[in-house]
Amino acid sequence: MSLYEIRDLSIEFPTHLGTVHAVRNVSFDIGENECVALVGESGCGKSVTARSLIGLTEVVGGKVTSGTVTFEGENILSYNEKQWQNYRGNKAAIIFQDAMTALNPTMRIGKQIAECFTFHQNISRSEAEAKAEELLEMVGIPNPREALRRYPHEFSGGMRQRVVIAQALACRPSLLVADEPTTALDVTIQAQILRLLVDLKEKEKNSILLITHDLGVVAGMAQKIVVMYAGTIVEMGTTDEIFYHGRHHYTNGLKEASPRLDGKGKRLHTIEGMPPELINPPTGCPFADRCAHATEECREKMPEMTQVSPTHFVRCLHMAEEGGRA
Amino acid sequence: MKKTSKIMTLSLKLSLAFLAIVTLGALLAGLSPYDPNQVDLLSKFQDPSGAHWFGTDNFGRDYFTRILYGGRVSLSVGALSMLVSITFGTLYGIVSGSSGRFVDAVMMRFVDILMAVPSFLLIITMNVYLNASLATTVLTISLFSWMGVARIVRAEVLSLRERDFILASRGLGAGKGWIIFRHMIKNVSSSVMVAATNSIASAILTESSLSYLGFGIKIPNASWGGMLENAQTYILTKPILAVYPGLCILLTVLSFNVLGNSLRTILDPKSRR
Repeated sequence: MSLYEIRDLSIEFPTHLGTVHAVRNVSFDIGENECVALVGESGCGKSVTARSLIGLTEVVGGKVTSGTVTFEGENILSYNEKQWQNYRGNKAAIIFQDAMTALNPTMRIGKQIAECFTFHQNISRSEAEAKAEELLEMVGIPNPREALRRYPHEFSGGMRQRVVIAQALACRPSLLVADEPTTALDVTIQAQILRLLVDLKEKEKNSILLITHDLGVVAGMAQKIVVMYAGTIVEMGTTDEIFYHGRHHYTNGLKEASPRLDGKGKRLHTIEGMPPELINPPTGCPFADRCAHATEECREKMPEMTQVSPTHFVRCLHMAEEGGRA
Repeated sequence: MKKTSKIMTLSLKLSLAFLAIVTLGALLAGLSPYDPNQVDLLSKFQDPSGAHWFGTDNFGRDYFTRILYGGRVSLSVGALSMLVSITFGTLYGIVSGSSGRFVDAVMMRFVDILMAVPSFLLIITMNVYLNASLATTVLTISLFSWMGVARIVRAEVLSLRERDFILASRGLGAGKGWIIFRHMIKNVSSSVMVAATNSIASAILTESSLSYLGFGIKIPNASWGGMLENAQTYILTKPILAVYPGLCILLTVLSFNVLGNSLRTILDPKSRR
């Protein structure tokens, strides 16, 4: 039994130029205490998919046009605003990419962390403060008692991201959506924050939906990887399956495009071309125009999801040979 | 850069000092041994002396006392109409900025209309019908001075509501009211403070003009505008009578403007050295 079951989710954004089909028929599960990574390049719909789990699609101007998201036996997409407010922060929380802007510059961080308690728990101010202090200690902020009284600008980027994580975990949500949590940080801090997320996941038994375009980030953390391209899922499977037995040419292209320590002196591989625009998405495989293996058939009809192992699904007519990095 | 900021600090200090004196004078006006409206025809048109610091006017009233009481009127009109217009303007701006496009457009066009109206004529007309007093003057002035604040606040709210921390707070379960009162108000307060200071200055100016034209504070009660009007008759024989209230209006308005400008510079994170 999965914690979240996302089925046939489609999300559109009305714009001046036409409707952008940002997410098309996306289905996947998030298990309990599991870390699922949503990978793909910019604009492939990963953030939009993730935000719909927090009910923030409408807030950013989008519209869910079909699909269900089942959580604790209920379709959360049919929630009204009141139910959403009760759900957000309490059952699921989100941390954003840029910790510099995710905190209110005019509010002491103790108050910002305690916000969640005022929404969901009926506790006194001193209790909330004590709990906020515990949270800060948990995410590794030195001198948590003093830190409560500080303003966001008194912290470095990495520390702020820790504060944001503390804020999101305040009410012990079952799902933590991490929307590129380390993109704005430098590499050493990145590793620390990822370590922290993994440790907290073990401790709090929550699930994580990790959004990233950096495969290196994913490798050490996720149990499951969902690769998105142009609003659809092109491949998903366990981390091992994706890394060592990737069957979709886009997945393999992505892996080759990541810099490697042992590939010294070689030119970094790139995927030629640009992703298709999503106002009039192609009827066939969205990756066909950039794929070396594409045929006429690929351009005509969207390939079905093919199951290649109990946990491994690929949407491709001409799958790469079993055997990993091409 | 350094030189201008030196001049700025000096003018800010002078303005603050002057405003402190005027405020103190207005507060302590009651300590003066003279009644500001007490006519004493035997001692009219006296020159400044130890007994009458600024001399006396054509009715023999102590001019210094009248200046103090006039300051009381000007400052309270300025402060009160600032409070009314800032409060209303901020609320209006927040509602407009956080509503949908249609409501926002309608509310802002209404602001445009009010801004296009020649407000001074309307204020005079209203004061004539409303039987002018301190309260009605404050009300009529603030009725036509909240639009600027509303515009500023609305613009700030529009940009604020796209910020990550607002989205983050919603992601934690915050409702609309919480977002507005806990996150937005404090973030717009610096712009509002600048607007507030400038609005005191313009309210004082409007009040003085009203009283000068006889539509503000009723005679014989003292107000700087009214004293100026009274002094006009004797401008050739006793020009000093016009100088005191004129200088008071000028310096007070100037000080508030300097204060507003300095606040703008101090509160703007981009202009900090």
